[in-house]
Amino acid sequence: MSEPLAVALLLLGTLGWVALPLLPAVLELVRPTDVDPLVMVGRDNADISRFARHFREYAMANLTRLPSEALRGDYFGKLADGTHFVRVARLTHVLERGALPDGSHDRVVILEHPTELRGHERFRLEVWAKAAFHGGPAATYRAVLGETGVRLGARSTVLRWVHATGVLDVMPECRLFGRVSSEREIRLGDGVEFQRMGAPAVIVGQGTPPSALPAMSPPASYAVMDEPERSRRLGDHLRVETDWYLPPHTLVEGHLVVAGRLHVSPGVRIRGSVKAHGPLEVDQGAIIEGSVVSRDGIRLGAGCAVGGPVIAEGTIEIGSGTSVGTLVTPTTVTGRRVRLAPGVVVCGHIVTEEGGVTAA
Amino acid sequence: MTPRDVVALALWVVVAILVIYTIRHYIFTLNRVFGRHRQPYVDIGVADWPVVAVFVPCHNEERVIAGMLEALLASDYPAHRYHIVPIDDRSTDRTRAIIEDFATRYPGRVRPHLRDEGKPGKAAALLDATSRSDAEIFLVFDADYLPGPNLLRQLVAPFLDPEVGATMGRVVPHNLNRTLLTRLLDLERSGGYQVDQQARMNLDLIPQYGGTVGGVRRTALLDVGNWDDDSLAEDTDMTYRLILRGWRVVYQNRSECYEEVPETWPTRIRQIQRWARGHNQCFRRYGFRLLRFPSHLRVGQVLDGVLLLGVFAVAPVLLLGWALATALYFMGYPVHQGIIVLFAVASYATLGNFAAFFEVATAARLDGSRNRIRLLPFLALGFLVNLLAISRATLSRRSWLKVGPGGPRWEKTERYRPGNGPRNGPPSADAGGPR
Repeated sequence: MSEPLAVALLLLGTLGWVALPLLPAVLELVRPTDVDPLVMVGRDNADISRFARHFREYAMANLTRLPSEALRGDYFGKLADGTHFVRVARLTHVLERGALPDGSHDRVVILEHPTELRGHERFRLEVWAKAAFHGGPAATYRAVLGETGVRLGARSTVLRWVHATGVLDVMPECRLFGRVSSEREIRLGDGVEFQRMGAPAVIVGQGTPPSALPAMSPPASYAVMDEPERSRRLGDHLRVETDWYLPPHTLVEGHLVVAGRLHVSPGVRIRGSVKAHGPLEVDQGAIIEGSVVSRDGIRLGAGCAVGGPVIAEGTIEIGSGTSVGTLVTPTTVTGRRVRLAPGVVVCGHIVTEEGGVTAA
Repeated sequence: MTPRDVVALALWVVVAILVIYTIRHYIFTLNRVFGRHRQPYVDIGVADWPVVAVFVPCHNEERVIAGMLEALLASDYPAHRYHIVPIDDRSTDRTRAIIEDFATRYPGRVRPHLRDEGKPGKAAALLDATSRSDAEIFLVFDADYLPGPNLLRQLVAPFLDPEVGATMGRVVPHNLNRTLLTRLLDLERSGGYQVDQQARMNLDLIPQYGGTVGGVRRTALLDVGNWDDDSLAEDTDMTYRLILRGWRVVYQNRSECYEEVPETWPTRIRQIQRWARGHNQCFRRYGFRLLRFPSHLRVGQVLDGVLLLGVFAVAPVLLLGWALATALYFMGYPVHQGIIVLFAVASYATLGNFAAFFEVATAARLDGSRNRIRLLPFLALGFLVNLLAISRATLSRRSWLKVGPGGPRWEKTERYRPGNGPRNGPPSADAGGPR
């Protein structure tokens, strides 16, 4: 081999070696395969009943394409997209006919009339109840759409979502993964685990959703707040740079931001929002007209009323008889974990990162 | 001390700066890989929403303004709680006619603010419009953006926290299929938002209000003295005034909005030079004030704030380092003493390997992107152009001296969208489910 040829080959080899890592880049540039804009999150998690709506649209669109006999009486068949379904119009025991050997159901179940199940059923696909639906104990559902009221039996599990146009009654110790919603009211028993819920009123046990915050007592009945030494006015709020304690029956006009822990004593009324960077504790009977926010956890004692959202990066505990939001101005409770005592009423949404529970 | 020692000392300073920025990049990226994603307000779906004015400053935006207004009118924010204020500042094309047509068709919802006099520029236009609005929250969008229906609600939700002075959403390029540059900018934006901004939010540092896809609370704005119409970068300027005063800026990665990125290198160079000059002006204004360590800020926040202010000054520092290293070599400085090797590693890790590959690759992975990551080697080209353009802007008088008698002016990025109709090109904001 001549010397020039050897040099040329060496040069070419070196260039090729250097260019090798660029090959995928050049190929992607010349023949793009991933060139669509990033898909945005169009409908966010705040739209709690989204999956239920989509299922209804999907089911209706598929059913209208079926022959007319599929829309009369009890019927086993396939939806237009090939999904198996059973339509129960007369006899609930038709369901048992279609069950798998292990007792579970692998079809979409459409219930045309009021239905009460015995319990322990396992539905691997959606249940669409067009009339009142009473589930038995220890049943497992993938998802339930109720066009009127829905009652989930004790110790039942919902894996993806449940939505009721009417009242959604959840018996004790149910486990509700995913989204839980009602267009009227959700009633929760004791020991119910949940992730996200939304309804005009979410009630734990017994309670009445308020249409307004409790009226203010005469101003003279409140103590005037002493502004701490290490504090300053910032726009529309007072910023306190230390831990802070609001004595009983204090009236706070405007918003309050505390750079440490905050303790709100019984009977305090805050005519604005409140935020603490540390834990925020609100004692019995306090009223906060705006938001309650903490970088840590929030504990709302019994009988409190909050007008705005409750937002925490830690755990939120809401005490017995406390209300958040009103029927007129619904709001959101959002935190890493949420614990609701009996008698709690939340008008709006409850969204947790790691789960919530109702407990005495 | 010999001249060679002076040069060596200067190079040590350069190396120290580069190492600090390298560590910063690593912290941010590792936080996004292993840290907890902090988004406390994103799930607020229902609330007693405040009254919002959506400002859209415009100067010759006939190609894009109609699409923007249509997108805003389709918002799911309660219609009686928001209005749109297109601010036309001396447009010489059809922008004003289009805006007036919308105002006629949507009375009360579209309330134009038309400017024919006063200082030109975005900050001056915003200052003018703010003084005529009684809304509680001001959201700001550039005219070429295409917000999805839920974006206003998402951007307003953080203001339910009384400490939040400004919010910022994520900018997503939609014209990335046009040129190599648009694809590189798509990667850069991913790194900047998905990693940098969100890591700052996670670590409770200083997320930046970016002047578009974001908003400011009226009381906070007035508390810090309103928009500064002498500012070359009213967004960075606002961020620092809010932070220094004690307000918070919130970044929400899920509040995404499509934008049009520059498709040609000259446009891109002008854009990044404008950003560099504005940023450096803020460095001059607020850098030393931050370094007094205000009591309400943590040490980490101060350091992050200073490093963010200095980010555009790193480019000429790197160039200086190259010059110093070369000079040292020819001055007979023994390479084996390490500083030159260290410099090479530091500069590679700061603007080469790390920024171009690790951070952007992490962002692309978090976004669920697949093959676009193959373009990473080409980012070296983008960084080289940025390096020179930013260095030139940083060394210009306008970066460091007070704004001249003419004040700021409209420095517009060229628009590429064809025609004037509704959305051209970008996919529907409702197309995707949760990622």
